[in-house]
Amino acid sequence: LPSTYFFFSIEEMSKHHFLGDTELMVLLAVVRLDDNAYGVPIAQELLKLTGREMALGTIYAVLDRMEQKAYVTSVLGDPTPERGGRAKRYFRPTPAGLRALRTTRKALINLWSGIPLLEGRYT
Amino acid sequence: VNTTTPPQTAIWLLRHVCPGDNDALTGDLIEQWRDCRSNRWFWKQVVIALGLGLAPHLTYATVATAMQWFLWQTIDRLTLISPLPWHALPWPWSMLIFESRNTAVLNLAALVVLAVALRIAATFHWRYVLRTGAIAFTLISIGHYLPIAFPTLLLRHEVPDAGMMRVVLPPLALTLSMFGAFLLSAWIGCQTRQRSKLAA
Repeated sequence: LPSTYFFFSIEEMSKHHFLGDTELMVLLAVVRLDDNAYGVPIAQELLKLTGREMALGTIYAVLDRMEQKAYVTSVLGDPTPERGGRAKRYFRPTPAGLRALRTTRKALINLWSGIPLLEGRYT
Repeated sequence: VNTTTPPQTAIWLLRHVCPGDNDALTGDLIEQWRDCRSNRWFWKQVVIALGLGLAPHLTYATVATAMQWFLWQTIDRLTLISPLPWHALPWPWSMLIFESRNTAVLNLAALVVLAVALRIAATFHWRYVLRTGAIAFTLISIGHYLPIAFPTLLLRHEVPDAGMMRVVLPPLALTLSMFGAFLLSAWIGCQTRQRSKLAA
């Protein structure tokens, strides 16, 4: 069975766009934060939920790449004095981004399932 | 809470050196820095942003400089045995091609690397590659003719043959200037419209 799932996933890859691990984590953080998805809360959400401290530059590079792929859109908020007069850039997932998330999730679930070694039977 | 000013040099680098519009990133960094982050943390974030933003440019400059040194002789031989009858062209075209053929071949090969690096960073545009190529070609040509313009500064007679001249600059300085020229070409060539607006 695992080999069937593996080949199913490979076949699906040619039809759909899959997200890399960093893209997946950042996009999930954007979805979770809803209307408050800008650089600082995204970094804090990732640190809180994954324990991974991602540089803000990395987060913006990933988000810029996903904006090019039309997985997210961004709008600028109002400039604030505590940010040195700079505006916040809020991100929102697009329908294509949500589709990519669902496709990646389905593929990962297929890959994870049916592997006894990872289900604790041999530990 | 930090009440003094965040590192201004780092902010200047983000605004003027890092490609793209980094205003929102700068704002995020200032917000975090005011929330008790150190100057060291701020600089680390800026260095990471610069590294990521300039990765295609640095890759291009490194590969182009390496090609300049390791493939020069090969390119020379390849162009000499080229089936194209450039030498049969009337002057000054034959002279122009003779002088610029190595730079052109090297530039074309290095531009493929830039195109791939920009594609990976999802910032690829044909105009970036073409602009970078034109600027690199101009800068390398200027560098090529500089010793002729300033012979007393940059040239000296070859000891065994008084008729031969060679550039005085040490190899490291030549390599660094070549690397700098390629890096500058990519940096100017890949400027986005947003940055142009900001600069204006």
